[in-house]
This record gives sequence, structure tokens and C-alpha cells, in this order.
Amino acid sequence: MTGPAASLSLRAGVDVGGTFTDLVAVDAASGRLTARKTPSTRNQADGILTGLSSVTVNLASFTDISHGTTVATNLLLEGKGAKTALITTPGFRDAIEIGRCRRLVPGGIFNLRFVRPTPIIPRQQRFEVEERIGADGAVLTPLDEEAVMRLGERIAKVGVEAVAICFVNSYVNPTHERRAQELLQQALDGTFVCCSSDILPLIREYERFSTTAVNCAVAPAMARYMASLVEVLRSRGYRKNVYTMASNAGLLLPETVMEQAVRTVLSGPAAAVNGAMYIGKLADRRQLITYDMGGTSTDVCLIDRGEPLVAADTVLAGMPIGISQIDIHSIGTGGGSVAWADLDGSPRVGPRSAGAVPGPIAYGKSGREVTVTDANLLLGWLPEKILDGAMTLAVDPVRKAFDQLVVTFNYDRHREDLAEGLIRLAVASMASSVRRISIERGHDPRDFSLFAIGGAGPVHATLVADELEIPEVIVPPMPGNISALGHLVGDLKHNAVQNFRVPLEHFHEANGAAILNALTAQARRRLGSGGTGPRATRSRFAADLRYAGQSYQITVPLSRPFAIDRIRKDFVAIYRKRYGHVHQEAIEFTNLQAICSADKQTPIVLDLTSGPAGRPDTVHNAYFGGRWHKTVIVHRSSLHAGRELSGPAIVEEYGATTVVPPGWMARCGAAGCLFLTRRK
Amino acid sequence: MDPFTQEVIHEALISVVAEMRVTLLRTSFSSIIYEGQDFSCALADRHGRLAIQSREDFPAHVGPLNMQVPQAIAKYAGKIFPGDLILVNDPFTSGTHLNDVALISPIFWQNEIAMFACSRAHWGDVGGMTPGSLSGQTTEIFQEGIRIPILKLHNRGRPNEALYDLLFSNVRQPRDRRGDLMSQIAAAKCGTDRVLAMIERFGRDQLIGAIELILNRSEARMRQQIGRLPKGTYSFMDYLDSDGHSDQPVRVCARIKVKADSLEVDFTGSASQRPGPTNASLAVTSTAVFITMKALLDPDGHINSGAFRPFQITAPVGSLLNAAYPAPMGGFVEVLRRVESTLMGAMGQCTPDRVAGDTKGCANHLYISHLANNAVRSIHYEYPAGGTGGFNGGDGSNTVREWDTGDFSSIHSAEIVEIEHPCLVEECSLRQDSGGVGKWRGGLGLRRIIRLLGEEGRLSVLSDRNVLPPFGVNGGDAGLPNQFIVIRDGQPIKTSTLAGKVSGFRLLRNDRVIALSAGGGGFGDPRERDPELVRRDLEAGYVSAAAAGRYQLGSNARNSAVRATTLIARLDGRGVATNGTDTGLERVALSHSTATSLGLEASSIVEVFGTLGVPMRASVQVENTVPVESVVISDQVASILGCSTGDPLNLRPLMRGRDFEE
Repeated sequence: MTGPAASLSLRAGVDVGGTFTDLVAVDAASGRLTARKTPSTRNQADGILTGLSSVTVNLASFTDISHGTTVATNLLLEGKGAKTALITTPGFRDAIEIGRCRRLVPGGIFNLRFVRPTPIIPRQQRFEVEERIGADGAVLTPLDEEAVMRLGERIAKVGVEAVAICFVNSYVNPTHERRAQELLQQALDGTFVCCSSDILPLIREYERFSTTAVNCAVAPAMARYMASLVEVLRSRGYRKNVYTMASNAGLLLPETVMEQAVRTVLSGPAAAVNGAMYIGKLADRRQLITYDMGGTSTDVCLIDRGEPLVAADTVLAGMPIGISQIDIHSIGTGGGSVAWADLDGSPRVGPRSAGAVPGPIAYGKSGREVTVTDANLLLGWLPEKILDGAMTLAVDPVRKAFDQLVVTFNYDRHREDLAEGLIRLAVASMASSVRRISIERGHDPRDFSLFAIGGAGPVHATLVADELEIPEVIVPPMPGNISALGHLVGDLKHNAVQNFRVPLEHFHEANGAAILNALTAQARRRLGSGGTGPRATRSRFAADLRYAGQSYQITVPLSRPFAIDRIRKDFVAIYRKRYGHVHQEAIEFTNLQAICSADKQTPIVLDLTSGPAGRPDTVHNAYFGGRWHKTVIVHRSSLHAGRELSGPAIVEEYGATTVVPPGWMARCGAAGCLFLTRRK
Repeated sequence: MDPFTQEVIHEALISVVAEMRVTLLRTSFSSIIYEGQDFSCALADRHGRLAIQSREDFPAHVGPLNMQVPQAIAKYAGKIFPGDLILVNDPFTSGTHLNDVALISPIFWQNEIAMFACSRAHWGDVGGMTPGSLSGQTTEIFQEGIRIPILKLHNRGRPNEALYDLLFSNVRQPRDRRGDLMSQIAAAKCGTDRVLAMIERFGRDQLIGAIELILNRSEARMRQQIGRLPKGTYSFMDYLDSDGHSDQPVRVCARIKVKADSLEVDFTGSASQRPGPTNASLAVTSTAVFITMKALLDPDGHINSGAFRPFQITAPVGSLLNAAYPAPMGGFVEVLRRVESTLMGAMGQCTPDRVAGDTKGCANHLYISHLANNAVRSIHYEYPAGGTGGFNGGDGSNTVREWDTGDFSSIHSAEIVEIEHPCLVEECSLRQDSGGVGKWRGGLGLRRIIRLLGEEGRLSVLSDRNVLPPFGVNGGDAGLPNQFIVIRDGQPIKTSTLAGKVSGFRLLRNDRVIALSAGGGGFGDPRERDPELVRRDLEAGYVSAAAAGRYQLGSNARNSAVRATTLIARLDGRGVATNGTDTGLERVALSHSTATSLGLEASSIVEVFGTLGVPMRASVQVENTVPVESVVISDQVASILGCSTGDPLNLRPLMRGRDFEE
């Protein structure tokens, strides 16, 4: 799977991470895959070019390139967004700073030293202009166009890169926002101006304004980045589209990315989920919990009937982002998480991480603190040589560090028991994370397969599965490159949503059909104009509903024709499943949405099963459940379809290790996946 | 037990509470629950001791369960059965106020109680004299709604229909309230199912053993932190603005004795219980002690009854901190907050670097109800947050939940308000200059203006710190107080006789309700503030140019910009005695000329303070026998401030909130 490619019809998926840029390319004719890993660069476009060039010098061989970028996320986490002005309704200058008076970041309670995150647009760049729309959409105060023009001059003097127009009740009547946008675009030629009603046409001014402000903060840098990426690829002969993964696990065209950059804040994690969905379908698994454990954190997401759960209440660095994105729960437990003793002597793992530098002790750099990876090594769960022999792990310093830790914790058993204990702690917090996206959303994890990815995911997956009684663990091919694969196999996707509050019984079915048609047309426009010829689009529909009087809504998939009775039945069934009871209250719509998707071009074909010839198995000792076991180490390439492995066993491959503990067995099956189940 | 098994069990139990929370949140009908998240869940052990809460639960809800669940066990001794549900909102059996309804659900394993799943949720209304039930003008608990003593709502799985009927016949919007109760029952079921699954997995004995260890470890940890404090006795006095009936401040008095590994807190000297709603149960007072000490000593530790053990708390029966039947309790949060402020004042002498400027000091309950044909059509309820206090190393934050409470919303989306009520939200902005000046400035309060578009409405406000603002510490100044104003035809009109206490005031179309929440107190001498920070505050408009002048260095100690004046303390007993009554401030005496030069007159309120710690508020007494440049203080004030005759003592007129400006 790592051989050079020479075909003239290549397709690529590229994932830019903090340390490495991962690339997966496929030869469209043979379906053969090539994987590359290159260091990430300051201008992310450079690393991408290096990766692509290592596959073939002439980029004209590529027919499409899809990628994920951390440009938006990094800007937000580092607080380095574009200088932005905000224009709003009188009285609401501070709306994005006040919010609902919530902290929105953990760790505030009992903390006398709590500091609220700084607002993304500082107060001196927030302006009010005379206008007011009522809750019913009526114009209470007309827009003062002259004031907008004067403001334009003032903003021009301040010198900003973007302007967010955020008026109260614009979700029901956007005319003032649109008009102000027109005027300011004239006045501020070349400055990015965007309306809250375009970014998130939904009720609740704070969430809508915040999402719009975030969009403005990231859009200019994203536009520059996209322009430089397109340019550099063009100069090397690539003239087709460059797609970008959005937080809803669908790809975006460059023009959409430039206007709605906020849609890319979860680009990489969304791609991993998309890769999981793709492999899951090939492996005939539509109920998956993705479990992506890397060096510093673990991301989990639930895929129900082939579709990921979505959330519209994400908070990033204290800022709500109200657009629909896949519901990923992230915690600070990873392979690099450090073990420490709390004030009362209780053992703890993470969230502090040894990171890439100094890294775990096992990496033989300057790491001195015991990490989860060190515990893995001490127990023999990792081979001593990793990355196809390119790196040798340092066992002796790890043993010494554990001996020391036994003293620190005043622990009365063996160091190996301590290592197993630390891993149990890490597993407990990761299991809590899985509970949040499954049980707390009304799903029973026992109905799912755990899809283990990331460098450390396949090491710990069976333990997490045991904690939650999940019956099966799936380790896909290239578990460390699943994001790049997710980009490669992505479809274009756009959600169009309309907000309204109507009781179910007062809703005309014909009206519903008309709204869905309009939303579909709107979403399709976002998918069109790509210049790569006609594409088949698929549409799905959903309604957000709730009992009148409640605030939380439930998303119910719709099928056509639009039938109120069926919608009611589906809502009640989902509600009962999630909460165990139902109410007698009236049910009302809050939103209707159309989710349209389209292939980039022809469907992709991957050969996930072929690979270089196997290597001989070896045997060493590994510690499980309080004692040493003779454990076979198998290279993944020698696991041809159908071969079964009985635990204890270790499966090694480039960039990941799968642990099959006693009591579990592994079988190589569909789509090149390893299927781990408990031995009967 | 293996420490790792214990931790794994602990983590799993916390996730049980998290699931109970989600269940309750997503199914509730009161906007204060689903938007405001004014509810909490917890697990108690088989003895009823508080064992587990999540990081998101409201300590003031959960703390009192530690006394209430054992009381429920005692009431139904030997008669608690599988399928029982116990309901209670009675403040006289360790409740909070009547709006907070607790549901206690025993979890049985093989015919024995293993744990209790508990929730306490603020119902939007429980009957009583005003919509929303909370009013500043109650005199008896009966005016605050229906009182539910510890009662079985379900017996062996069978609903007590008579109780349901009686309950929902006595509350407004019974349909929504029934929905809230169903949500609490769903949360109890969720907690029960999950705990039973854990017992299946870990075994009953191991689970119970782990809980015992968890409690013991929390206790040891808290004792260890107490052991690091300077030993001694520290006292302070702080005041509620009023009790809703008289305009006199109401005293809360605390004496903290720091011992080797425990703390004694004695509230003797605090006012007797009030005729108004500012009263609290001992359970609430004890919770306030725990919250404050945890924040000062061990903010990261777990919250359970083990960590409560090192505190011995005394509050006289019949005082406002341990009120007896039939005192109204609607304002328990105001009392809780004042207990916290008082303890912060005492600890300001013990460990001045750790304390922070005070916050808005109450819940700021604000109700605007809309009436049509003499019937309540909708109730808009919120409780605007204020600024938090400056601390050693940072400014307070603007309009955010305070350190002692969960992270829930305290105002609604304007667009939601406008769709659900005939109201227009005209403004929601930061209140300039409201943060107390200091080396580290207090955070700003909120300025929110809501216009009634409907024909008629009612306004109720239950607030405090409208007269005595949040204090600054270690030389920092106070923040601006909370204020609630109604503007009719362009003029402010009188809504009540007491600031911050409004009960069912009749609003007319186009009346504008203006809520101004308090700014946080500052930390440290404002003259030490980094000029760059002053510049930034000016640029953002957090501080006006006029107020920024107060940070300027002044060679003259009487520089009006700095406001504080240093006088010589005298303790010669010339006419200033300790205030022995429940209400009213301690007094300080000044000569006529000193008072005049400071712009003070008899009964003006001043702050007196040394270089460190929290200022005492006192009332001026003008006495010509007092030497110029001197201030005579009572023994009590002297002992609190650690001040003797001849010592320098700072005196500062109290900032008054500016009148509302358009």
C-alpha cells in the first residue's frame, strides 16, 4: 500500500495535522493506494505540495484533490483571527461579549481567578446603526442608510479585513442586513462583508452573531490560504478543483470555503468520521462509534445508520458556533497523557500531555514523565521496533521510571500492575466520553461497533469496548491515515436550513413540500458551478421538532412525500427512545433542512486488501490482567483475509499497533479491516 | 481496595450524574430549567450522605441534600421501598426555597438501599402571592407557594394521585410544572438504572467500599489544605441591604477559628430571622461555608460530604442563618451570598492574597409578567449576572456566572424573549464604569432594557447589594451596586419603598424596565494599576475618561481621584459603641470639619480599612469631640480590622450608583 504510483489518473486526499501532513492517493484505474507522511509547514500549502510531489512530479496526473486544513481552527485557538468590525442593532453592541452570561469554558466553578475568554471582536470595533426589525419581521425602525455610509468611512479609517453585519431578528427578515452589506461592499471595496442571516439564518442572536463573527475572523486568512494553495498547485500543472472538508463531513468548493470558512473548523476530525463511514459501508457496518486516540487527545463520534450525529451547539474557545457539524466529543487523554499524583495521593492520567516534545520516555528524547504510551511499552503491548523498524523504543528507562512511580504512589504491587492501572484510568475517561455521545444521546453502545483509529486507538479499543460492553472492534486499513482517506472519498455536501415555528397540526403538507424544494435548490447552488461537469446530487431532508414549551429539539429524518402523520409518529418514537417517556403536548416545527450531496466525479474505487508480502511472526511476553503471557506479534501485511488470531496477540503496522488481549480474537475481513470480537 | 478500581468507579459514578443531568435538561418545561439550567443532580450513599455530583451542578442545590436525604431516611425509617419516590421543597427540612423542588429516589439492590438518586430543580412557579412565587415583600412562607414536606410521591412504584392533584392545583401553569416533575422522574430512573448496572459489574460491596474511600480521601485532602493556613481567629461582618420590610442593613457576622486540621465557623451575632424573605436554613448556611472554603482552599477537589467534615458550623436557631417556621425563605440565595462575602472578609485577614473582589451578591430575580383580562399570560424570568471581582493577577470578568455557581445562562436570547412575550429588548450592553477600581479591576455589570408592548404587566424583583455594593479587597474599590428602574413617559417612577425589592408592581404599555447588575469589586491599590491596562480599558470604553482619572498617581493622599483618605484610628471609647442590634451598620465618629472636608454627613455610609483585607462598611456619626484627622471606631471594628489607637486607618465614602442615564 505504500508503493510508488505512476498512473495518469490519480486522486488524492490530504490531511494537514499539527505535526504531519498525511496523504493518501489512489490510482483510479487499479484502485491501488499510496500513503505519504511529510512534516506540516507554516504555509500549509507547502507541505501539501511536498506530499503530492512525492507521489508524482507532474500534478496534472491528479483528477481531484480534497483536503482538510487546520487554518481556521488554529486561528481561533490561538486568538489570531482577522481584524473585524461588527455592525449591529442599537443596544446590541455587546451581545457577542455578554452572551448568556455563561463561562462556556470548563473549570470556572469554585475558581476565584476565572477569566472569561476575550471577545473575538474587541469592543472598539463594534458599532451600532439605527434600524430595528420586530420578532414578526416587521420593520420597526428603517435602516439609516446614511449612517451605514458614515460608518463605512469610519471603518475604512480603522482598517479592518472583515465586517460582520449582525442585526436582531434578521433570521426572519434579512433585508436590512442585505442592504447594509450592499452599501458597505461599495464603501469598503475588497473588504470581506458578511451577514448573520447568510451564515446562520436561525433564531437566537448571540449564537448567530458569534458564528458570524467567527466566520469573519477566519475567512480572510482562509481566502489567502486557498488562493495560495490553488496557485501553487496550478503552477505545477493541476487545474481541477481543490475541495476542502467541512465540519459536517462533506466537501466544499473553494468559493464556499472563502465565504463560509467557519464551516471548516472541524475539518480534520470530520474527515476521520467520513473515512470511517466509508469503510463502514464497505464492511457492511452502519452502526459505528469512531474512537480516534492520538498523542494528546481522543475524539469520539457516533454514526447511526450510516450517518454521523450532528450538533448545532458546538463551542470552540468559548465561542458558540451554531452551524450544523458532526457531533465530535474530544477529551485530553492520549498516548502522551502524563501520570501524576493528586493532592490526596489519588493516581491521575492527563489531561497534561508530554506532546511531541519531550514526548513519552519510550521515545528516548528528553521525556521524563510516565505516559500512557510508556505503560503500553512496559506491558509489551507495543513492539520495541516501530514505524517499520525506523524507531526503537527505549524499554529500560521506562522500567526505571515505573519503579520510581511505584514509590511515588506508595503502591503495594508490581510496576506492571501500576501500568495496567494507569491504562484503566485513561480507558475510564475515554469510556465516559463515548457515553456522552451514545447513552446521553439515546443510543445504546452495545448496538455499535467501535471503530478504532489514530496511533493509539487500536491499542486500547478492546478495553474501551469491555467498559461499555461493545461487542466488536473494527480496525480499518491505515488506521493512522483515516483522515486523509476520508478526504479522498468525500462527497460534496451542503445543508440548507430554514427556521420557523409552526405547530405540526397547523402545517400544510403542500407548504412543506414547497419549502423543501426551495431549500434543495439553495443547497444545490452551493454544490454547483464546480466546473467538472454534471454531478448526480442526492437530497435528504430533516425536520427539527419539539414539544411546544420545550427548548431542546429533536431532528427527525423526513421522507417524501411530506406527511404530517408520519413525522409525528417518527418524532414520538425517537423521543421515547431517547427519554423513556412522551408528553401529551402539541408538537411544533422549529426548522426544516435539506442536506444535499454530490459526488466529486465518478465514484471512487479502492483496493484496500492488497499489500506487500507478509513477514514472519515473532513471540514475546506481554502483561495482561496481572500476569505475563506469551504473545505473538504479527505484521498486518501477513494477515490475509480469513486468517484468525487468538489473543493475546499484537498486530503491528506502520503508524499503529492493534492489541488483541486474552479473551479476544481478531479476524481479517471485508475492506481489509480487522474485526476483533470476544472469544465465545 | 486497588486505587485504580476506586478511581474507575468514581469516574463511572460521575458519568451517572452527567446522564441524569442531560435527561432532566432535555425534557423539562420550565425555561429556567432548560435555558437557565437552574437544577442539579447528585447521588447520595445509602446513609444519605452526598457522594457524587458533577462539575456542572449548582453547589447551593446539592450541598443541602447532605442534610435533607438523611432527614428523609429518618422520617420513613424502615418504610422506604423499591419504587418509592420522595418529594420535598420545604426549607425547614434542609431545603432552599420553595421553588427548588427535590426528588429523592432510593436505589434498591436485593431489598437493601444501595444509594439515592437525587435532583433539585427550580420550578418556574409554585404558587404564592406573585407569579413566579419569589417576592421581596413576603412575611410568611405561605406567601411563597405550596410547601411540600418530605412526602412520598410514589409508594412502591404507585403514584400518589392525591398528592399530584393537590400539588398541581396550587401552582400556576400546572401543565409545565407537571412536565418538570416528569423530567425529574426520568432523571431518577436514569440514575437508578445506571447505578444498578454498576453494581452488577463491580459488586455491591466494592461499590460501597469505593464510595467510603472517596469520602475519606476528600476529607483528608481538605484537612491537609486547612493545615497550611495561618492558625488564628478571624472575624468579619457584612450586611444585606434590607430584609424587605425596614430599610436598615441586616448583619451577618462570622468568626472563623483556624485549627490544626479543621475550621470552626460561628455565626453568633448575626441578625435574628427577618420578617422578609432573606432567611436561610442551616443546610444553606453550611453549604455557603463549604463553597467559600473550597474555593479558597481546594477548588479542584471533588464535591462530597467527606470534604464537608472538617467544618464545624454554629448558627443560632432563630437567626436568619438558621431560620425557624414560618419564616419566608425566598431570598435564601441573598443570604447564602452574604455568608460567602462575610467569610471572604474574614479570610481576607487570614490569607489576603487568595481573596477576590466581591460579586453582585444575590440572584437578581427579575420577573416581568404579561397580563390580559386580569390573567397571567406569560412570565419572563431571568437573573442577570454581574461582573466578578478582581484577584491577585487578573481583572474580574464582565457579566458572567460567579465562582460559586454552575455555568448556566442567566439571561435569555432577546429574539426568544420577543417571540414568547409582548416585550421589546431595547438594550443589552455592558455597564460602563461599574467595575470596582483597583490594581486589578472588577468586571463590568450588565445594562438591560426591556419595554413592555402588552397592555398590562407586573414587575417583581428580589435583589440585594442595591445599597451596599460589592466590596473591593486589599485597597481596591467597590463595584457599582445592582439597580432596577422603571421609566414611564421618560421619567423614573417609584416601584417600591426599598431598593431591589419589588412585588407585583403594575406595569403599563411602553413602560421600560431597566436592570443594571453590579460590577465586581477591585483588588489592590488602583494607583498600582499598569497604565497600559488603563489605556486599554479606555479604548474599549469599559471605563470612561472621568473614571480613568481615579487611577492617576496622586501625591496628596486626599486626592479626590483616589477617594480614600488616611486618618488616625482612635479607640478611646468616646461615644462609639458596638452596634448591638440586628440591623444597622457599625458606626465610626468623625469631627464635623473632617466629615465636611470629605463630603460626609451624619449617617453617610463609609468604608474603613487597613492596607490589606476587606473594608468594613460603617455609618458616620459626627462628634465635635473627635480630633481632626482622626476617626473613632468601636472595639468590634478595631478587632476585625486588627487596628489599635494611633494606627493609620483608611476611610472612603461609599460610591453611589449613578442615576440611570439614557
